Amino acid sequence: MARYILNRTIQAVLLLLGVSIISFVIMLLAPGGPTDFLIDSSMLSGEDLAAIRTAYGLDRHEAVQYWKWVSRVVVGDFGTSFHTGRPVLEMIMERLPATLALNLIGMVFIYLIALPTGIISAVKQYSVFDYTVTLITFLGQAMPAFWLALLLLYYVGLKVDLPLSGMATYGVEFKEVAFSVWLLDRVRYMVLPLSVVVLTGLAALTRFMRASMLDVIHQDYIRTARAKGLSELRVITRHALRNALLPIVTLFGLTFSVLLSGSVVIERIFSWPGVGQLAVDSILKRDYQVVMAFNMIGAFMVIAGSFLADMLYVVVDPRIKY
Amino acid sequence: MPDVLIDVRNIRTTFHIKEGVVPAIEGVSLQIGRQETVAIVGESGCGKSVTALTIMRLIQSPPGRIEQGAVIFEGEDLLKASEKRMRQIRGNDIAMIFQEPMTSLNPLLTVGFQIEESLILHQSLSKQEAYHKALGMLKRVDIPAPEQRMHEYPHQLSGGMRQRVMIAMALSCSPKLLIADEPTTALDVTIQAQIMILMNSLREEMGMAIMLITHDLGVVANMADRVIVMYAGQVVEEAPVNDLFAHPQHPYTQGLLLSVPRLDARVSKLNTISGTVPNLLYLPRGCRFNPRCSYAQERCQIESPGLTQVNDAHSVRCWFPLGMMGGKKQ
Repeated sequence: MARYILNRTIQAVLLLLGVSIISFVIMLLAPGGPTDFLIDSSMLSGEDLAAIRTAYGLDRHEAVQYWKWVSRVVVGDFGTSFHTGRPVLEMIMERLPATLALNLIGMVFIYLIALPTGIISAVKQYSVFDYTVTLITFLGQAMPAFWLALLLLYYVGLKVDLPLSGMATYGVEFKEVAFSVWLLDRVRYMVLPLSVVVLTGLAALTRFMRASMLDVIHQDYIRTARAKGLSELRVITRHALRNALLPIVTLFGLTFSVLLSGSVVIERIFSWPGVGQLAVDSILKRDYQVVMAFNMIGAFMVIAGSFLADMLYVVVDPRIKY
Repeated sequence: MPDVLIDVRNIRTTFHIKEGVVPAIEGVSLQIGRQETVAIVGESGCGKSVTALTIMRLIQSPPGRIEQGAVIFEGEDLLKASEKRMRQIRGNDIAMIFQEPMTSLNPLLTVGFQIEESLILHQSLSKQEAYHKALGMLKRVDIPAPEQRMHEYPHQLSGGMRQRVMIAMALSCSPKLLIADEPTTALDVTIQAQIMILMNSLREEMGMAIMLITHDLGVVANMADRVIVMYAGQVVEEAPVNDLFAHPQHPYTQGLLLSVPRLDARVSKLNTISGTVPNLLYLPRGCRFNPRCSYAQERCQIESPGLTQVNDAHSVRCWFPLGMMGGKKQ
């Protein structure tokens, strides 16, 4: 076990290194550089621009730039933004709570709804319920998030008088108003973006759960359980469910990274002040330091997620030992 | 038969699939006496397992449907019993073991839990009592280090051990009838013999009847009191085991017996029954075996034969049974 964890850690470091090199190269390949977006660059003379480039080290060889970046990152320094001059990590941390709140709550809802729906749908295969679920999840998967977001804005947001953008009313802060007032304010802002997160995220998981459960209830050991005289409820909850949830563990590991990276489209449409928005802005402005920090956090989360899933397997599946 | 335990009368079970209605078994009747071992033999797809699952009322519905007949178990028609009543019978009065010990045990539950479960359910034992009873069962099926095995998972056991666990599980509530659906097909030959000997000794010890589904005629000869031969969803021959081996009446039974390789007869090629099992959706007219039968006559292609008695204990579904000489006739 300890050996396995050590192996995985070494793999993770190599992977992160690979990801950093690739994303660094891709970023440099994109046309333009940070200086092109500073201010109206036509107002600056060539010498001014060159001076700025030298100041930021952009005139050095790419390999040198990368080396300087890596040597800072290993000690936890992700550098400062070209545009705001602030530490990159601070900028991201400031945006994180908004993204985390939206996606964490969204994920809880998604699992709470999708798992039971998928299970019932499988157990009652070919029933009206099953057909309805299949149809809705099919639509859910086919529907683009931005389109659903726009529909909700127009048909729900405007009619029910919900805030259409942002995540809080100015001045309604946690310590300064009654808790109920604060909570209601946050909930009202969150309803629409959360609906989009949940509705678009539901479909895939429901279908996955249904397929997994269907697979399990046709296994021999389920027939054995029935032949013992167990009630159908016990057959499903005690014998089928745990087996059917095994593949979901993998899926959970994979979706783990979404928690932090957030959905760019949803954050954009609802002006949700999360990390997704910051990422897109930084890419457009070629703010290399911020973009790299994002890539690394994203890569780390994916690796951590799959590691977490593999560890969870040891807990839930007695057949797996490392 | 002196004391009938289960009387299966004229059951018909169909599967409703996209291509049509598949009559998996048609008019199957059979009886099993107390403490009797009855073997059901036939090729894959002849309806052996469906017969067993119909008795247990474990046919998946949809697409399966038990259309007619009665299963009288100790005077009670199981096909008319409520689902709740069936749950009391399953695992308690009638238990079942399956072909694949590899996949028939739940991979995520310990061996102990899976045996204890039916004891707690049917005999209302406490967790403690169930544990001791389950442990006792593991000892009875000759599992080494039973205390340790109780806490292990199926993947930690060999195939033979798993089948022993299945047997321990099935017999834990002392059923009156054990349905064994090809219990040794997936095992090595040496293990097969051990399992068969074990089942036989437990049968005598516990006084239960066994319905043994198999296509291994060697097993049949050693274990069974009576044999029922099935073909394409029907019973085609039924006889005491010695009678059947000595004087098969149905050409199909004869074919089955001839296709068993023998050590004392050096032959270059095994005998086979020509042709294949008919698709149940497109059954031949007349006798279901007629396209493969070397004795088929015109009548066989037009009229389907009923079961007729050859003697008290021997019946056959054939217009031209082979006769007591077992030889060819015109």
